[in-house]
Amino acid sequence: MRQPLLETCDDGTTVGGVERTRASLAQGATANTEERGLVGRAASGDEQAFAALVDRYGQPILSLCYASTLDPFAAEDLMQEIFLAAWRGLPRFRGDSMFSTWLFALARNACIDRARRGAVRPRLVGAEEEIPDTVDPYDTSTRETAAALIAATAQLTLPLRQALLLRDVQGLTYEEIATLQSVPIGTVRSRIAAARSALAEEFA
Amino acid sequence: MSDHVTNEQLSMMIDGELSPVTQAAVRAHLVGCPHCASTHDQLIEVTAALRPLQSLAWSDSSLQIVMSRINPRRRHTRAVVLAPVFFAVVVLVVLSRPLVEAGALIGQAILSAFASLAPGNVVTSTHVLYVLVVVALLFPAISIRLSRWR
Repeated sequence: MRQPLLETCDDGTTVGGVERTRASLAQGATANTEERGLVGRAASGDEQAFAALVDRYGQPILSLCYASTLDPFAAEDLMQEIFLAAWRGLPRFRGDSMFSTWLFALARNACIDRARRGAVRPRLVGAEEEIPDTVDPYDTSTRETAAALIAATAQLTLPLRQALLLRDVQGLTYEEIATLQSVPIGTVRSRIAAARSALAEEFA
Repeated sequence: MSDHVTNEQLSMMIDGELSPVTQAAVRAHLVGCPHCASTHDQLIEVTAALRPLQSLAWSDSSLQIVMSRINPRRRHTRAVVLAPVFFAVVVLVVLSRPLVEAGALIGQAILSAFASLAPGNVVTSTHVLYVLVVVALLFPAISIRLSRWR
């Protein structure tokens, strides 16, 4: 039985975030009539319909962005760009695939573009800023380890970094990560294992 | 099972993704293999070290920020239209009577000036000034109409 990660989270927001992501991905998988109606209305310019879709998929998109950028502010900015692009591109969405599939593909491409533009190259100098508040500010050893870990994680390739952080930070299952990254579950397993091995070698 | 367990199997065991049979076989191997046991411990340390990293949570403010970026232009246009209209209404209410009288005088003067412009007469600076006054008065309405067409 998989050890649930929820108890490792200190604040309710993280638990809520996992559940919200899970609900979004489950809803996307079924692609019900209600969502098709929302997509149709949003494509015609209905902002309220689009807001409902944004609210539904905001959490998984935000999770993916944070797993890609390792920066909360950059993740928020990237998430906004993704939904802006979705709004502009929605009139051209023909419904050949599920809306969630189309949206997640848009998000992945945006993350790749952002990484290529160099916005998420290793932030060795700024890693100290990303140490979470849960780490004791007076625990120098732990803070140094956390800063080094963040810096090492930033060195991973984007697919590995996404898979690892979606699993170990966001708490998503292999199936949910496979949906977000649009790869088989076996690929997710390989990526997570490779990412952990790379970090383990860094700190060995 | 080969001589050593793969990193992928160890990683899956940490996540509880191995079948019970495979998990038991891996655990049995770790007991007798210091190399794989060491790798297993390192992977667990990495996983544990990542857990304190905070995740981002979606909120109503996130939704509001996204929607404000979706359509900022309409709000701006609304302000552009409403502000001068409000100002004009205030001016009209305050200066209603004197404004009507002044408008009548200006209109009379403009008409007289152009009535004098019979064929052969020269266009003077006064005529030009009156044209500019009319254009200036109509300019806000013209610009608002043009912005809507765009």
